[in-house]
Amino acid sequence: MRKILVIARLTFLLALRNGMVWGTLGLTAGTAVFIFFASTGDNVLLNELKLRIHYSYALSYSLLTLIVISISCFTVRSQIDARQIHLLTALPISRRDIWIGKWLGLTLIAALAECVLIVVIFLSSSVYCRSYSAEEAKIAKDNFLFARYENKPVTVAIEEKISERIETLVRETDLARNEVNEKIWNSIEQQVRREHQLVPTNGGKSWHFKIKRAPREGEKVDLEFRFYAENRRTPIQGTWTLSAPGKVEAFTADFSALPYEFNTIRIPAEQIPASGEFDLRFNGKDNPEVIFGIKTGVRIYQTDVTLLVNIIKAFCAQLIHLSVTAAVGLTAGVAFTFSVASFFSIVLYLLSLSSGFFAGVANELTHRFSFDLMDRIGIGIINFGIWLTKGLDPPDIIASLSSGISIPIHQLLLQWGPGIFIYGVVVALLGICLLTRKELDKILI
Amino acid sequence: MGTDTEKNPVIGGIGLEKTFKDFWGRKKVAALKNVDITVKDGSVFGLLGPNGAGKSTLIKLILGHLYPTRGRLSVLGKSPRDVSIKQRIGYLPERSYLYANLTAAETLSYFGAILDLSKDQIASRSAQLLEMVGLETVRNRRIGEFSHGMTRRMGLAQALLNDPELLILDEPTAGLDPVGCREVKDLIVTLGKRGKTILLTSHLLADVEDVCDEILLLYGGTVQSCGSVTDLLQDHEKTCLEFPKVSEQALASAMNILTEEIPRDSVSVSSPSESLEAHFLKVVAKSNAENRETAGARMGKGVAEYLQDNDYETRYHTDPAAAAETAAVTNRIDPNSKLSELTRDAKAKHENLTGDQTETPDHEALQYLVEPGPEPSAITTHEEGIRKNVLDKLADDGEN
Repeated sequence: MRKILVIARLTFLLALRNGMVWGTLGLTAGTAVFIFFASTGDNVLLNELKLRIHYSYALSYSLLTLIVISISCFTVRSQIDARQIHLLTALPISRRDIWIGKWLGLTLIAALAECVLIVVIFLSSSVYCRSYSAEEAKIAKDNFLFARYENKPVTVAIEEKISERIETLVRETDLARNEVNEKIWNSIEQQVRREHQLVPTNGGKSWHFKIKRAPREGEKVDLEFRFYAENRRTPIQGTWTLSAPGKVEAFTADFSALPYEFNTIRIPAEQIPASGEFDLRFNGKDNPEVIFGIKTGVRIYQTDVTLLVNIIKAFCAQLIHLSVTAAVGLTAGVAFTFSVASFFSIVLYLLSLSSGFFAGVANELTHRFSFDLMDRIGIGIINFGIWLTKGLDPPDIIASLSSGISIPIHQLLLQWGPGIFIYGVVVALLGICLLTRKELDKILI
Repeated sequence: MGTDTEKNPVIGGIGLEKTFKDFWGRKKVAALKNVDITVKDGSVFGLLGPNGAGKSTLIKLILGHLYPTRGRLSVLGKSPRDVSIKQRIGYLPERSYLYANLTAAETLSYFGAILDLSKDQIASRSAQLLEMVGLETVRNRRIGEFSHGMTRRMGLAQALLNDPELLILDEPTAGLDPVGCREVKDLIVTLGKRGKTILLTSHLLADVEDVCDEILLLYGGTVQSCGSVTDLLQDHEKTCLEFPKVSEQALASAMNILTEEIPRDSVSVSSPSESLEAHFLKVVAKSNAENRETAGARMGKGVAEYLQDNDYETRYHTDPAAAAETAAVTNRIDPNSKLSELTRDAKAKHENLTGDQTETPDHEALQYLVEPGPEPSAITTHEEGIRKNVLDKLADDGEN
């Protein structure tokens, strides 16, 4: 371990001396500041700040990832090409330890850059908030100093609902199962999707919630909702009702809100049952057809952690991501020349950024009544591509952090964690294996 | 029956072949073909050959940087890829592969840490090595700012940091000034005396001849010649005598005795001239003795003490007097080093110019440069008789 740490220190010191560390810090910080002050939103107090933080953080983090990949490729490749690694391998240290030491050194550089990025965005936000009045500053502090936990409604998967409907159709009609063709399947799917989001004229809709924990006394619990209607300038009126099994009196709140906007209703903490499980019902008053989006339709927010804790969670998740990108860069640098290695690993990263799009395409292809061979091949290729790049996918936390929403670390570790962990281990093993087996000189007579 | 050294050579390779292939696996270059090599424990082994003969490839195989296509190779009794043996190996590559952005002291510190040396050991050895290679005044300068020769000296220092049992020197004198070359040769001789095994390659055949016990000559990837230097180079058909200047009469008498045995035209008589190397060393030693300023490497202060003595570090850590002694720079000079001797004489000469001490004759200061080679092992009794006669004649002439 001591030797690994020596190599890590050496890697860091060399990067510091040849300007790579300063370049990384300067570029990241410069980009963050530039984007923060160059971007503009809708000039609404909090939205503007959130948007600036989001854009600045997301873009400078993407740049940081690309820089980490490049310096990882460069660090190992330049030492192989300049044969400095020959001296190291002539010393009593295994090539595995050299690889791990270099990876640790690069991760240290990435951690430093990540710290600088967070501090720069925080300072930029502070400078920006100086123009706020005292009241505006208080609102901003209330929204940002404590991160809120986002609770989503419990929903049934669309595929399950479609299957249920088909079962009902077969049971209640003369239709045989093998007569359910693509046309019928598509029609049912559209109907299910529509019902999933639509509130009919003068109608209502319920959502079931199971929140993270029962709120403490005096804790802020907010219902946030957004809906779409044909006429976006006409306010919609209605009532929200919170009910739970065993709860004698339901909590109700009337509202009047414009479509397309985020609206918030505060729910007293004592109205939430100890189990944290309840139903929330929307009833319109003379309302037209409205649609509640699947992603941002109805949410319950509750106070969770301080801003600092949220930042630490974000830092840890992103550091894991950056360390895996460093591993990819190192492995590519061992395997290929610098230019090929940089190109290869950057393309992998860019593909990982768009893995959401490809996952959507694969999802669309999967939601079909029947598949022919070409469909299956297409889905297979896309899924393989997603699998190949998924591990490099950055954690989806920047939007949460910039909106003051608590990062669900347990969900993150369950959904994103295993993928990146396995990816990191596979890439590291590949890199160590390549470096260990590699002959250090191709021709040196 | 062979000895342990013969049974377990430090480096033993049988039927070594190395073929470089292209991306498609097609044969590109056959760098080594059926090479056998045996480097005995405690020997100074020279690897010779023109450019492209396969010397560096063989060294890379020994270091485990390349893997043989065919054949078996063991280094210190294990596979060259075994990490544990690297603790006992020192390696000076043919060019500087050191980190340009580290200072000399930092380089030794990092390498020392990888070699598992304690902080005290690193500090003590670094100081001695930097003095030995004449870089103590630039210990905090980055290696990227060094001249080529200085980086070679630095490379030598890092190769010796672990006091290796096997020292592999790839072109050790390339890029060094004559002082540096002499120092390297002194070092090799000192280490050789301590029983260290040294494998070196060089294009400077005189250097190899000066220090090596055995050589292996490669050409086109195959062994052309292998054996001890004495056996390979000695001309048993000739005899050489060297003595101070004598009178013409004594020479003529000696010639008369010689011509009784051999034809007159097979005897040559001449006065040896001082070599350029000897002259250069004399000038640098004088400047060094006068403490003239230089931004580059200084003349080394002799072989580092821990490299001269197997028990040095034990004494250093247990005997405070030894530690204090080591702290004094002048005490680090190896009294047996020929360059130290040269420096002492140059100093004495400098003092003579400014004081009243007796001047030391130059030929004594440079005596090591004209020392006769090893005694021929196969001189016949008849040849000895002739030589004795000539020497007696010359002695008589000197008395008269």
